[in-house]
Amino acid sequence: MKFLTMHQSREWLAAFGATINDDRALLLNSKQHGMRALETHLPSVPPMLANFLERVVDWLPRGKERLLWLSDWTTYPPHSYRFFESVWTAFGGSGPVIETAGCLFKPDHGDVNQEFSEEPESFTLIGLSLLVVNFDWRACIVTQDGDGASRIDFGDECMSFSTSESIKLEEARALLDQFNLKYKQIK
Amino acid sequence: MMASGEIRLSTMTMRQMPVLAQSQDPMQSGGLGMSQSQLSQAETPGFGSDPGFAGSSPDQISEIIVTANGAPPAGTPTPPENIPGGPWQWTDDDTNPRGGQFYGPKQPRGPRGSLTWSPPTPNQRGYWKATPPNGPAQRYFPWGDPMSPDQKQWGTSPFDGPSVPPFAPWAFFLWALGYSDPAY
Repeated sequence: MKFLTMHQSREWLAAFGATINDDRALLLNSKQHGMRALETHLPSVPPMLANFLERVVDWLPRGKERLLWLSDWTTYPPHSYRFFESVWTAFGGSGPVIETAGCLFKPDHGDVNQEFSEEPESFTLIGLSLLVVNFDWRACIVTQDGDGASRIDFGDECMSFSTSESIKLEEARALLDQFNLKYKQIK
Repeated sequence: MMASGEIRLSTMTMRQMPVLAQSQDPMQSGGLGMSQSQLSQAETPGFGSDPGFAGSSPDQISEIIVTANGAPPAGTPTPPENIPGGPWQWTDDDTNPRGGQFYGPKQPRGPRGSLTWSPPTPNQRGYWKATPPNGPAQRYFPWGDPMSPDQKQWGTSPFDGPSVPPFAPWAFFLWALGYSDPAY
């Protein structure tokens, strides 16, 4: 894991034409990348949510670094923010989350149909995603995928899969069907 | 003593979090993620004069007092008065990605309600999200009317959806064919 400042995150994203705007939102030119997206409401039952997020992270393309970017969070009531910051710091983040809101995770080199990831950093990514979702914050996980990109967005009780690859979109559909989650195509 | 309108945020110290104590130098990191402004705030006479915190050492429980103050950054609208739970008061907070937050009135016990502005994105309109002290969050249009989660996306507002079909010339032609002068 490598924690990144906004400037470092922007540099990493620039390789495939993504940016972070002044509102800290991560922007990808979906037309340029031919991206399509599916959106769903997140499961509210705790075990299902944890299992779902494990599958969501597993959906990301293999062999590519994964950037977790926190775009919005609340600092009141303080317990959730303080706990998250403690975890963030314990993993190596230096200083307040606002200064290092990006975290780069090693690629997962496992088989496409693996039962579980064997990459330890995947566990951390799943756990941090679970915190973000439970605290109802906004974040996205993005990877470069061939000439395009794949991204997952969490925010306000919803999540979305976006990808330039048709096969990844079908994998996302299959995943949502597996969890009996209704979804809509938003791009 | 806390003055009216003050919001108190607690933080733990290094001895309460041994894992963190091993992983970083609190002085270099700003003390468990406390920002420089928070640190300087904690050192102000106003903080130290509170009997609950006078003479507190770095190893004791410290508290940060954030006094309702400041103004929202440019681009953040003023909350409409019809959003329940107000009046909403802005408090600066440089650990918050929005530069601060709107807070509702102090409650007899426990946390206040809070209100955040989500700026528009290419996929979503800007909207207010109110989180009451006890209960689910509720979203509101920029003008304060309640909004369903699905209405966050552009095109799903009662005001900007394709509610009126475009005028079709053939529709006028059909009407004209069937038109007859009134019989009066």
